[in-house]
Amino acid sequence: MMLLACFACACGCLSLSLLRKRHRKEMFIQRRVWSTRVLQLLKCFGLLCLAGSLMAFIVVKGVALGLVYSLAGFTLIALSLSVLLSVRPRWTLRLFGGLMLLLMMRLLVGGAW
Amino acid sequence: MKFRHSMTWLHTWAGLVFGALLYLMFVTGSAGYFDLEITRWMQPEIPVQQSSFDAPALLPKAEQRLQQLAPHADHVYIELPEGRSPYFMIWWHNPKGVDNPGWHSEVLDPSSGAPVAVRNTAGGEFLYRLHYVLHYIPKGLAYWLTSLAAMFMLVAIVTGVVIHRRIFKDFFTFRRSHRQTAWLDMHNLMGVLPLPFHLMITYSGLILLMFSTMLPVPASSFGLNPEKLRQVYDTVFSDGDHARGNGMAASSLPLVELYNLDHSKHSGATIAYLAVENWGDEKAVVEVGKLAQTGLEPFDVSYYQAVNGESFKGESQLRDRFLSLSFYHVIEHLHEGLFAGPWLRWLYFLSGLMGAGMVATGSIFWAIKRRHAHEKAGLDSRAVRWVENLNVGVIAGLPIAIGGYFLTSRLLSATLENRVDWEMHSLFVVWFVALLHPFLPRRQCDLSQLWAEQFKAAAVVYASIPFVNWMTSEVHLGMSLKYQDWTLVGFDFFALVLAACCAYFVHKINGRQRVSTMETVGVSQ
Amino acid sequence: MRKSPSSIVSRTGAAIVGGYVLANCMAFALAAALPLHQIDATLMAMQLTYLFYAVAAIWAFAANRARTAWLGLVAPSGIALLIWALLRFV
Repeated sequence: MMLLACFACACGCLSLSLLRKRHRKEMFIQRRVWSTRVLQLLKCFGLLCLAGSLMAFIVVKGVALGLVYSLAGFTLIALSLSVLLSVRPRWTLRLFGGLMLLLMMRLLVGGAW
Repeated sequence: MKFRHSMTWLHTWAGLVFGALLYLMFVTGSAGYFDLEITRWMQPEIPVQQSSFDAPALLPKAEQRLQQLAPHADHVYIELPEGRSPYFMIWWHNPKGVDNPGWHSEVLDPSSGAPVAVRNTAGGEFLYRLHYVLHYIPKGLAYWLTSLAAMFMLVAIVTGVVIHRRIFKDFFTFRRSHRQTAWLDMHNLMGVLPLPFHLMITYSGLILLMFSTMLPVPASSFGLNPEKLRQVYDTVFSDGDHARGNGMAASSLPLVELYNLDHSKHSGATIAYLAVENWGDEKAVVEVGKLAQTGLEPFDVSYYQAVNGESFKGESQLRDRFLSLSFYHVIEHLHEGLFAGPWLRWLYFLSGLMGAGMVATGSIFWAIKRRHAHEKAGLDSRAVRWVENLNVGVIAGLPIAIGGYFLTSRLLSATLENRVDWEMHSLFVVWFVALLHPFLPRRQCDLSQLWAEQFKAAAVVYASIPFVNWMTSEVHLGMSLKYQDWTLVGFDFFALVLAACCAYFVHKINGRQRVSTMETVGVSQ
Repeated sequence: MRKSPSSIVSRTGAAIVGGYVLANCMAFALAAALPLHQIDATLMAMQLTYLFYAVAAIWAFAANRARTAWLGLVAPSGIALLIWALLRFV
């Protein structure tokens, strides 16, 4: 569950960072125009992910500790994402995909969340 | 527009005026989250813990040792090396009228229970205390100074949020292309991402010192009656006696039985300490603290009567219903982070360092901007140079000084008299030298060269820590890795990480210097 | 920033000293007015003091003129003090 919460937080951060043209341009090789509709959806999705991660933390750790955990986790994830976006923007999606794969494997193996 | 202007001005100066003190508070406060771990490293006489702690076998030894050392003590306390604590330690309090009144302690070997003669050290507690008690100045003055600095910090945080034009849009943005924007972006990242932490730590820091700075408030409600004021103070700070002894001596159950009893009641919980109030009395009460699984309290506590092992319930008090106290306790726990497990503790530490980074980058950014403005206007830039030099001495100098403090602790003789004082002096001596270094007269003095020199020094100091540890003790990386003593491994490893970071900074600075000299050469040709 | 040195000194004084006084006066009034046990109310007010202090310090620099800044601190302090005196002594 904790892993899932962290992952949701990362999802949220990534989609929110995609709202900026500058990050989109750096992350993808092909350029194409993103419609406002898509951007709005992205924003909703990102905020939902963050809310979901907060909920997950609270479910696992209780209200007080869950809040602390989610803020701390968010800080770390957002910081890593910012550095990644600045240093190696092209790696961001690959790394994210890798993380997702790892998570799926973990799910299949059936380990603790 | 005008409002934003004044807020920018306020943000700049509120941050700058106490910049150095705030940096010191953030760095040493962050180190304070690992105070126990640091102290443990500074007491290498304690052998590496070679197997998991066997409490049922070792508790009787601790109790026996207490009976031997302190037969007349009224309170005793046994700390077990569980959770974060690396210590197997006994404490006892002698009442007035007995030899050696007051609290005393002894460290025990976590593998055998035998007493260990550890050296005196200022330890991690010194760094922790440095962030609010400071040093060389009276405590009261220090409380006022740190509170004032925190107040400036609070104002700087609020105005910082107000003046940030695109706080959400630029949330993840760190543009490295231009020098000036890179510093500004770095400042923004380190200020905005952990913003909840910064706000929490600043406000709670203020509240923790409220009985020094906001005394007029209780005086307004209760007048200057010292007894009443004492009562207000005690409402917050006294633990309250859970039980009073009746002065009748009685033999109590062995502590290990209470340990087992509590363990069977709360299976799965890890017992971290046992404390006895009114030791040896008929009304003695044993407090068993377990590592808390949820919530902000560091420990779940249960109480037992020492004579028969029945659970004991203290009288409920008026203050248990106080709204203000529950608020205060939440704030206090959040600030101290004692509840934090390893993951969260590292995040606390990281957030604290980001605070230090925010102060540092802010003041570097100010100097860069000022220099630009001065050079454009053709003004004398000596004052700017002063600030730049101070920046070097404070920002790079403090880490060197802390590293020097660790090294001194190991290199000073373990039996030296006043060694604790000399350890503490060493930090300030090294820092003083680092502060002086940029001001030394020299033929050609480039600012980035100063930065590079200091970071080089820092890299050398931190890289030598594991090495010196290996030379001067039995608890070096070879041993600690072998027996997986993560406290010690963590300390040595983190020193190496810091050294690597400093070396990377040196590399960066040299690289940029090379580029800029090439540019100037190109221009002049 | 086009502010005269005298204005800056005055505002700084207002922020640090005036802010402290205002924060305390507000807390006095709050401690007397909160419908809680007296110790509880006092502790609550003490913990909120810094909020008033921060707002006051920002106000001292946000106001158009230094005189307005002082006025904006002194007037609420006076009112708060009055409330406190009324609640406590009458």
